[in-house]
Amino acid sequence: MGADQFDHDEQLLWRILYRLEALALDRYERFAPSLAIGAKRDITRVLAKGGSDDACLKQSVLNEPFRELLDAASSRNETETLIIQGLLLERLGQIIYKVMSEQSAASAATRSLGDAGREACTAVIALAEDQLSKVVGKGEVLFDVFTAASDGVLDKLDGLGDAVNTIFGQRFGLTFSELVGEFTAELLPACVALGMNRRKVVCHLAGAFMGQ
Amino acid sequence: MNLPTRPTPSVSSTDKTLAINRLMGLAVFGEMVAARTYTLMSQLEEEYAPLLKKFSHMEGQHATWFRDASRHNGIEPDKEFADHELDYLIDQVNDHYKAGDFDALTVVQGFIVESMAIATYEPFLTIADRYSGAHEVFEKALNEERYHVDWVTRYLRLRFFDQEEEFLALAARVNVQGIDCIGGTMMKIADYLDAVGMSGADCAGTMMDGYTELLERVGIEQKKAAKNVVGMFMPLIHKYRHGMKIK
Repeated sequence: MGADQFDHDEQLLWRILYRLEALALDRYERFAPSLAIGAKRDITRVLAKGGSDDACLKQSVLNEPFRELLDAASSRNETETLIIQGLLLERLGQIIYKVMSEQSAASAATRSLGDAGREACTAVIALAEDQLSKVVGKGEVLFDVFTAASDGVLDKLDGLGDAVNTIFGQRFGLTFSELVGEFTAELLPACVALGMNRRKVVCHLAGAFMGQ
Repeated sequence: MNLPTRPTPSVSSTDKTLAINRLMGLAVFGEMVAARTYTLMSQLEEEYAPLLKKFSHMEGQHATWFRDASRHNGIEPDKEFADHELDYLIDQVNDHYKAGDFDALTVVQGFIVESMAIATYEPFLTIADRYSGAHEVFEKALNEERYHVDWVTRYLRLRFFDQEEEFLALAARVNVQGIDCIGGTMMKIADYLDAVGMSGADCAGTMMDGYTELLERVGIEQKKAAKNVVGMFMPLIHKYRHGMKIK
């Protein structure tokens, strides 16, 4: 799979996902080795080979807000890694991969990559949730840790909104509002299953997206 | 694009006065609009007319209670602000009424408007003791709003029993304007809620979750309901965050 199989928008999207996957894999290897599974290594390797370099990202309006998101997502320990990467960004990736795997407007290579990426994310999310309940516990204790660890990343997601709409909205139907709607819809039951109060989680998300 | 985060405003006593005047304006005049909406609904469905007239009377009473509580506390409900916020809602209500669309009115009033009322009245109770007599009337009003929502939920469950797709279509049709209007007002008062010691973000979150829960109770699958509601709130939240015109 090479970069020439993808058009410009696809290259940009895959570069973004590569950077997220590479960061996640690095954090898993450092702080949560059980999450550095083969499927995650495979998808990161394929994205590294198949996508373009950072040039397309640097020329994009996404560059600065994405850099800020990566900074905020640089987890510093196991708990942060499980929450930021395992609970949040894997889920965001899972949704993007799913959208791309179902895109009739995208190339066959992109759809196939979307399938593989989604499967890898799904596997890691399950491991992360299991590990999180073992390391931190469930319920209120976890909620407090979750809010502290997730605030910065959720806050930075907003910065991507306009650019995502402009670049990917028309082409792939991937609007920021729908993305966040789907992300929240997937995150809430997971948080509830971990014993968190759904309303509190929604209020936390609202506050973070409102910049408070 | 990297837009600056909104600066946190300092809260002076003038801000607090403006905030409570506007919040109470919305409460008083919003209740009056709710009373009118239930009256219009009673004209469309004879079967439910006695009950809906009763709801209308209850909403009218809330307006009177809130006005009296405001007077006792030197609060001047800001009619101009409320009118501006409620105009768009009144237009929607009028359109649905002209179309004879009882179900659309039920969703707008019974779910969207009541969700906002509950999401703000409930946390207001935690600070209501600062205003003489306010706790009692807001608590009574809150209980009655919940009663209205319970009835509306039962009505919609029966009306759309085994017709999830039809209800989704109705909700989608009504939500676009309804959430844009009422959710937009929620975002516009977020700073006022903060100023009087509540949390605008918590109220917005409570409204989102409350409305999601109502859709679920009528039979919409949880993820579908959450995606729908959050997806509609996000553009409003984004506008709020960047100080853009909300509506």
